[in-house]
Amino acid sequence: MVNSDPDPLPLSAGELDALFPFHLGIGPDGVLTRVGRSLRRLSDCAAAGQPLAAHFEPVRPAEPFDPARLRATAGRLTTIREKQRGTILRGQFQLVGGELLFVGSPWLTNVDDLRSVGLTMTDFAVQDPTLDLVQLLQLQNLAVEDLHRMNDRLVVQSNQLAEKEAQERKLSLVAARTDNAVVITDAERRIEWVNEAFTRITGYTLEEAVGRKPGAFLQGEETDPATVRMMREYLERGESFRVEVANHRRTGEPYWIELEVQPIREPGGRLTHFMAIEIDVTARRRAGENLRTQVGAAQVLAGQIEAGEALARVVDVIGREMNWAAALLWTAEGADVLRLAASRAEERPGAAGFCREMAELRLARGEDLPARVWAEAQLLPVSDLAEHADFRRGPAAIRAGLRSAVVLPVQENGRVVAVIELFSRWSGVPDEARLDALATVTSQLQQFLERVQARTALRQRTEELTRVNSRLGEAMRMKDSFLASMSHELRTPLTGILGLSETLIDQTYGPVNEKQLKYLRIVESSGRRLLSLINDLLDLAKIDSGQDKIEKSECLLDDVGDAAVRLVRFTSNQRRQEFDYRNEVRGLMVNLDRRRIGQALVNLLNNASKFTPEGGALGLRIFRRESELVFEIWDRGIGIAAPDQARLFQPFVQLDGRLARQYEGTGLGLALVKQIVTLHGGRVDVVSAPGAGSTFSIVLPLVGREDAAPAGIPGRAIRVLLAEDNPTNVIAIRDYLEQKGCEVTVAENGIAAVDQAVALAPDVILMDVQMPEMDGLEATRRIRALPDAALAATPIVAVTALTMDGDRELCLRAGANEYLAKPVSLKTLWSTVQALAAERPVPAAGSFAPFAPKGAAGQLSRTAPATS
Amino acid sequence: MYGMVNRSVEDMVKSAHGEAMWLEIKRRAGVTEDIFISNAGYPDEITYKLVGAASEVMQIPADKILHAFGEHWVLNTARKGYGPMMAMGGANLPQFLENLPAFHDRVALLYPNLIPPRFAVSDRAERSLRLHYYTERPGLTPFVEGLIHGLGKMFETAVQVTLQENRGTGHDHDVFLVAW
Repeated sequence: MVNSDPDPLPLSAGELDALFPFHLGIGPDGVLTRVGRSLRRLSDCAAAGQPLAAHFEPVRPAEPFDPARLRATAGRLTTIREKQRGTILRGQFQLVGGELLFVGSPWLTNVDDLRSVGLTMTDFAVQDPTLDLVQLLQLQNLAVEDLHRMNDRLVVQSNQLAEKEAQERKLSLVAARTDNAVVITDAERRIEWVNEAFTRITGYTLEEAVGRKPGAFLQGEETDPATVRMMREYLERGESFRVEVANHRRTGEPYWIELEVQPIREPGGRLTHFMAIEIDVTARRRAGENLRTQVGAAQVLAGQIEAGEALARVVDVIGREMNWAAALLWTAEGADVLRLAASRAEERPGAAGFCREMAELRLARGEDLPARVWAEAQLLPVSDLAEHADFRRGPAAIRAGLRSAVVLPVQENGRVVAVIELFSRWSGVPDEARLDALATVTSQLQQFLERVQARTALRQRTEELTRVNSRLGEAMRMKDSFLASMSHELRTPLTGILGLSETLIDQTYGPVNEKQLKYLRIVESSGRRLLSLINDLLDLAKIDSGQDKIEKSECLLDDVGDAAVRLVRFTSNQRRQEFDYRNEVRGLMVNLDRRRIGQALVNLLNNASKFTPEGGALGLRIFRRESELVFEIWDRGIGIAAPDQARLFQPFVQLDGRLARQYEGTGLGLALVKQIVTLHGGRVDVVSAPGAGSTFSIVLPLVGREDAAPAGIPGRAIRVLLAEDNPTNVIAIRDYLEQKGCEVTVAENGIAAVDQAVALAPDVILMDVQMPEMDGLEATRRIRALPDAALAATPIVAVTALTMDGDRELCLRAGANEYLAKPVSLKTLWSTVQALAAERPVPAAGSFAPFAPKGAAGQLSRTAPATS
Repeated sequence: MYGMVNRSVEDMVKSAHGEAMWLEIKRRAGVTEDIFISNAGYPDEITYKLVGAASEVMQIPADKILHAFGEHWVLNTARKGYGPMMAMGGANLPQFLENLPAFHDRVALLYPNLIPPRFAVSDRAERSLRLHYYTERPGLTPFVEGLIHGLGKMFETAVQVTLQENRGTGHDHDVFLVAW
C-alpha cells in the first residue's frame, strides 16, 4: 500500500464558508480570527478581533476556553453556547494548517428551535444533515402521535368491544333460554347455531343442525307455495320478512311456526348471517281449526237437511278444517253390520286409495275399530295403528301412509247411529283441545239428529191434527148452517107469539080480564124465555167458533139500562124482591153494542134475582168512575165462595150440581157476559161471600159523551113502508106502528117494495130480507139506485131473522141504514123509526133533501147508505 | 402515497362536514382502513377514490376539492408533518418557491419509498417566477394550484397563479406563472 500524504488542501475563506458556514477561527491569544457567514447571522456582534469568550461560552467540556488546551484536545466532540441567542453549537476544535478552528452546526431538535434561530435552509451547508435530523425527529414525533392516536382508538374500541361482548352475552343468554326457537345461519343459509328451544321444538340437537339448511330438513309441504317463493326471494335479496309456515319435527309430526328472519350485516353492509326467530303457533292454529270445525258443523246443521246428508257434510268439514289425512263415516246396515257411508281424503293418492278400498268393506259389530266404537259408544284414540290389535286394515293403512286414528261414536237418543273414523299420517294422540272439539261436534250432531227425529214426529202429528181439524171445521160449518137455519125457523113463529102477546097485554084492541092478562103474560114470558134460550145457544155457537163480534154504535145509556131493568123487574116483582135502580149518568151518550151490553146486564140481573131469596133485595147502579163506566149489579143472595169465583166465567159451569136443579139455566150466562165485556175492552169484577150476596161490576172504558136525549119525532104522521111477507109479523108491526100514529103501507115482496117506495116516498122503509120474488137486499140496492136522489136516500131498516155473523154487514153493504134482528122488539123498532124519521128533513115543497148521516153530538150516528 | 396525505383528506372532510360525512365517503370509496399511519405508504388509488367519493357525496367537482385540499395541505398538514422544512423553506413566498426543488430533494431522501414530485424554478423576476411541476401522477394540477395559494396565505402574500402549460394539453409537465 502506498502511503502518500496528499498536499495540504488549498482552502480559501469562501470555500471554508461554503463547507462550514458556522466556523470560528481562534488565535493563540483567544481572540477570534474569523467568523463563518451563518454564525454571523446567529450572533450579530461576533467578529474577528474580539475575544472568543466575549460571545461564546463552553458547555461541554465545561472548562474555560484556553487556546493551549483547546489545541491539545482538538478533535474532541465539543458544544459551546452563543451568548446572544443562547444557541448551542455542536462541533469540534480542529487545527487546520496550524490555525485553530471551530467547525460545527447549531444543535436543533424541534421546529420551534429552527424558528427561534431565524435561519433558512440556505444558511446550512448542503452536506449538513442538521435539517434532515430535525425532520427525522419530526417524523418520529408524527409516528409517536400516530401511535397515540391508534392507542386512543384501541382503547375506545376495546371498551366498545367489551360492552358489546357483555351485551352479546346477555342476548346469547336470552336467545339460548327463550321459549322460541332461534336459528343463526351464514349468508348461504347454513345453520351455525340454534338454541335449546329449537332442539325442544324440533327434536334436532345443535350438532345435528349445524351446517344444514333449515328449509331442507324442517319445511313441510303444507306451507303455501306462494309463501315459500316469497321467502326465497327475500332471502336472496337479503331482506327481513315474517311468515307462517309448516315445519316437521324429527318425528315427522307437523307443527306451525311464525317465522321472523332478519339479515345480519357488517358495518360496511356485507351480508354475513341470517337470524331466524321461530314461534311455535301450532296450538293457536289448531285452536283456529277447532273453532272453524265447530262453526262449520253448526252451519251445516242449521240448515234444513236430511240426517244422512248432514252427517256426510259434517265429516267433510272435520276432515277439511282439521287436515285429517282421511275422514270416514260408518253407518249401520241392518242391525249388526257397519258400512262406509261417506269419506273425505286429503289431496294425496294414498289416503284417497284407502277410502276407496273401504267402500266395499262390511264390519260386523265389535269387529275392527269402528264396529268396536259402535258397540261400546266411547271415543277411541289410537296413537299407533300398527300396534293396535283391533285394527285389521293395517296393510291398506300403511300403503296410504296412515299412522294414527281417532274413532268417534255419533249417538241419537242413547243409541250409536254412526261412527266417524279420522286418520292422521303422524303417530300420536291429538291434544286434549282437539279431542274436546271433536266431542263437541259429535254432540252437535247428536242434538241435530234428535231434533230431526222430533221434527219428523211433530210433522206427522201436525199432519194428523190438520186432518182432524179439517173434519172438525167441516162439522162446525155444518153446525153453523144448521143453527142459522134453526134460529130463523124458531124466531119467526116466536115473533108472532111475542108480538101479539105484547099487543094484547097492552090492551090495544080493548080490555082483557085479569085471568086473560095473567095467561097472556105467561105466554109472553114463556116466549121470551124460549127466545133467550135460543139466543144463548146461538151465542154459544158463535163463541165456540170464535166468530162473536160486537157491533158498536152511539146510543143513549139510559135506553140500555132502562131496557134491561124493565126485562128483569117483572121477574123480581113476581119474587117480591126489592129492586133498586140508580142511573147516575142519565143522558150520557155511549158507543157500545147496545144489544150485547143489554144482554150482559139482563144475564147478571136475572142471576141476581135468581140467587136472591123471595122478598130479598137486588139492584143496578150505573155510575162513572174517572174514565170508566161501571154497571154494578148487586144482590143480597146466597153469595159465592172465593175458590168458586175463579170458575164463574167458564162455560157450562154451575157451581153446585144441586143449584142446577134448583135454579134453572144453561150455565152459559156468565161466560157470555165475560165474552161480551171483553170484546168491549172492559172487565167483570166480582165481590162476593157466601151468605152475604154478590156484586158483579161491568167496567167499560168510557168513550161516550154526556148529552141530551135524541130529538123528538117530527110533528106529522110518519110514513112507513113495511116490506114483509109473513102475515103474522105484518099484523104485529103494522098494528103497533099505526097505534103509535104512523101511516103504514105494506109490500109483500121486494118488487112491490121498490114500487111503493117510488110511489109513496115514505119516511122510513122496514125491509124484511128473506122475501119471495125479490129479497130485501136486492130491493134495497134498487132503491139506492133510483135516479131521484131524495128517494134513493130514503132511510131503510133491515128487519131480518138472518142473525149469523156477517149478516149485518151484508144488509148495510146493500144500502140499509139500520139492522134489526128478528124477533124485533116493537119498542126498539118504534124508536128506530122515530130517530130515522127525525133525521130526515121535511121539505116544504114535498121533496126530500138527500139523507146525510150526522155525527154531531146529540144525534144518533148512522151508517151512511152504500151507493153500490 | 404516504398515509399523511389520506389523513389530510380525512382531516379536511371531518373539520368541515363531520365524522358521518367522512364515514359515508369512505363507504362510498370502498376504503376499509380505520386509521391512516402517517409514515406508511398506501396505494395512490385510495387517495383518488377518496377524492372521487368526496366529490359525489358533497356534490362538489373533484378539481375544486383538489384545490381546497392543496390549500389545506400547506396550511395544516405540511406545516405539521414537514414542519422543520416548511419552517426553513424560506422567509417569504419567492424564497420558499425557489427552495421548493431542494425541499423535495430532501423529502425524497427522508421518504425512500415515496415518489415525490419534482419542481424547478425559472424566469425569476422581481415579482414573479415560473414554477415547473413534474409528476407521474395524473390529475393533480388543481392540487398544486391550491398549494401555491396556500403558500400565499401562509406568507400573507397575495398571489396569482396562471397555468401556462399543462400535461393535459400535451406537455410533459405543468408550468405555472406565479406572480405576487
